[in-house]
Amino acid sequence: MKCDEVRDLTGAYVLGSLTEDEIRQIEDHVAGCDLHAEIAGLAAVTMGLAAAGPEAEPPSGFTGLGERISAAIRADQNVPHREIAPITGTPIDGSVSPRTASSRPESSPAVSSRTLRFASWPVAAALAVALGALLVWNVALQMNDPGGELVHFFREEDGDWVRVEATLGESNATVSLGGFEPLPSSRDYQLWAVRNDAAISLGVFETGENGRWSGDIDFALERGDGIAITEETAGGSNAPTAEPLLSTQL
Amino acid sequence: MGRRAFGLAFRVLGDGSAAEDAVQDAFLDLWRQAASVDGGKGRVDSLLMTLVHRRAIDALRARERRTRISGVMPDEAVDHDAVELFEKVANALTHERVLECMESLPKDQKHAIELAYFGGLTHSEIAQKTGAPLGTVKGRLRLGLLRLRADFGIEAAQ
Repeated sequence: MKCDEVRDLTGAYVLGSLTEDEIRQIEDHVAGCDLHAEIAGLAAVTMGLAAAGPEAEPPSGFTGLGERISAAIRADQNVPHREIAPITGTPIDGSVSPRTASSRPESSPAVSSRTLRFASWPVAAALAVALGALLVWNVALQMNDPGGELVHFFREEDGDWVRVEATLGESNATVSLGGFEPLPSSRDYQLWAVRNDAAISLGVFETGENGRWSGDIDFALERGDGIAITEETAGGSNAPTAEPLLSTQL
Repeated sequence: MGRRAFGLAFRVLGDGSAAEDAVQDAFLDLWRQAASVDGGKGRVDSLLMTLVHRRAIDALRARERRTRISGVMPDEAVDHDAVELFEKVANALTHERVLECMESLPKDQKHAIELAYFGGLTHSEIAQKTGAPLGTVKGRLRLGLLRLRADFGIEAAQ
């Protein structure tokens, strides 16, 4: 196929309106031709066309469809699933004074190093990206590997989310979260672990303008522990004083 | 994003149940490809909508017993240059803005693009349906998209 012939077909190509034979001929040609730039631009247009569709609600509702999708993903990857438990905690000995978790930007070296470690675990990387797209539904999914490494992601319908990467049984976990608007100086967010109905303070934190925070937690998480976030007075509380803004169970 | 994803599938298929299936399949596709996706939420959103469209068109063609025709991109790949270009304008492309741009197209170009994008028709089928010569249909699709590229504010790729 000559360059002019291919150029005539770029619109049909990006719209998926060609036969497989025509597609193959175009792709063979484009591999050595600057028409790729035009095709990329037109393909970008088709991404915009997606917004021309109406916003609509599925017959089973977003919750129903979200559950279907979550179940399908779990079945596809054998991802274990646990129901979410509400936080019903009281302080336990040794954690009366909340520890202050270190607050730092998400892109800090400490977070990057952990991310790299998990990047060698492809399914975990897939988990993080794919679940980020489940923007509407309340989703809790988790990956465990035999070595005790765990990646847990939970996102509420209102957009709050938390992601926990941990080596179970070791005081070594990274928590990332988002959707929490910055608070006035008189208030702090407080992060809790919930074990055997007891709430253990993991520290207080402040989110950035983007509503995000990430930090390392000096606490040995176990399977079945809950993670919860409450809003407290500045400096934190000995026990949760309000309903959790988010809670999930590992 | 959920509403947009479902809305796109519904626009193509006109059937809620089939649209749900298409969205679910698209999420599964995304899940399987996710390890190779490099980028943040905007990139994932773009890829998801592309996959929803592809799945919906596949379902439409299967329903109408038409021969399956390959989509724009191979199943396991995405045109990263296109995604990068689109990301720069995505926030400005609201539903209303896209409709406005579509309305500003010459009617024949708009109709041809709608038949291809939402109707899943090939250029030959569009020619048959509209009675226009094949070469004219090719031209309408390309010229319409080029105009939309300008109206959407998408820069030409280098």
